Amino acid sequence: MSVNIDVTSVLEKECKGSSHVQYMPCNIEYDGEASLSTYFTKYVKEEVKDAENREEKVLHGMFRGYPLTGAVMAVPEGYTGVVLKETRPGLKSDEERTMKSICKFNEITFWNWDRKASRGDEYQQAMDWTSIADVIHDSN
Amino acid sequence: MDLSAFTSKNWENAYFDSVLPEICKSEPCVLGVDEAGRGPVLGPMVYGICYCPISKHEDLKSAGVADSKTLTEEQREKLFTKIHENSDYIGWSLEVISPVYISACMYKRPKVSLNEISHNSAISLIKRAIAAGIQVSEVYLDTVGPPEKYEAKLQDIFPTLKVTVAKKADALYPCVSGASICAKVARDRALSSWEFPEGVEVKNWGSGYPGDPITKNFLMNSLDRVFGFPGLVRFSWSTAEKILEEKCVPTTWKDDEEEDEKKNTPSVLDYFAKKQKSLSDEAVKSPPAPKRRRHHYFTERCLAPVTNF
Repeated sequence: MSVNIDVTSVLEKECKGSSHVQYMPCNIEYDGEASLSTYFTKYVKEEVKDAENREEKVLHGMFRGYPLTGAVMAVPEGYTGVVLKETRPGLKSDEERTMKSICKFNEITFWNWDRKASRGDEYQQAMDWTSIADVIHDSN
Repeated sequence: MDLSAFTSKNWENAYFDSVLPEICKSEPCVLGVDEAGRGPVLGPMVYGICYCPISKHEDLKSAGVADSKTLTEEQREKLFTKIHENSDYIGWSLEVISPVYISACMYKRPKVSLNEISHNSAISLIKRAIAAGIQVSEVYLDTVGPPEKYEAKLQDIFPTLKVTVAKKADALYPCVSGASICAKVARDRALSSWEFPEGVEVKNWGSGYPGDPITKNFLMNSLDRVFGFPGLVRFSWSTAEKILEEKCVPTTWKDDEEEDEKKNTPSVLDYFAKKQKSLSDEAVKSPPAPKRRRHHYFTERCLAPVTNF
């Protein structure tokens, strides 16, 4: 079955701030609303560290009692982040699905469980692929 | 006792100190350590110290500073007032340890146990007392874990002090009882003035102990399906964990996944060839074609082509 993705509506809009999308170090089996500002954002604390002649902003947070360490990260260069929502969940599994973009972002807050965010994290390593893909699939 | 520094940010720990009696800077002192709120599933754990000159230790007893476990909240407040009235020779300090901090410690990798949190708090309070100029000479504590081990650990950190760790120390030593009273009063006040950052509006959660039906009711009703409980609750308590598992959206943390993977480890016997059956028993099947697997570059980075959501 095919999935239609419509991103036209958000491209003109402003990007949402980094606190809009939170990358969590756990698998949450849920799709729906979450009261971030009520339960999550209030517990986020920023720590400014001096590391090798530059300022490092480390974030500390909490989710279900678990200590989180995080940092704000930009989406890979040349890319835009988009939040999609299914407009009307189909009844049959072989029906065509439509996803509509509801907002765009260029920064996310990345969280690790009790470990500082680093280049070794899967997410950061995964984002490296975008630049490698460019080189491999470059049609020039 | 003004706890507003804790109340305004009740997810962080805070220290509170009484005025330092001058006499405690010049005379050798006894210092008692005790805690309040270790067992409950709600609210902070408070560690307290109470100190006075050795020469005045018995005076604490005559002031009525005795076994605080048998006192009601009202009686404790009265005794705390008495301690305050005798601030010319009695001093105290507290560390209010937030429930968020307790959960975070117990969910750290590796885990920091409640006993460790307790030991660290006691040690930091004693160090602060010494740094403030109090002539600490003898320290008395109620035991956390095996008493001999705890005593040896503390004696090692404070070789010049006489450390005594005993069971029911709050009944044996007035300064420990004083610490217990201060800690309990602080915990009572921290709870009664608790402001939920989540905007929850509940004032009655019972005793805060997991066995209390009013507390259990509060736990059931204060849940958010995604985020679980408000920060008042110690998530790492098994009562809280069970309710979360039953009522909230399931989440899997990496360590849980690693444990599941271990269960799927094939038995060593799978690596040995199966016994040859005679040809007449079964038609010989050719081995299945190997599955095409994604390059580990992608699997390591959790990258996969997505054709559907």
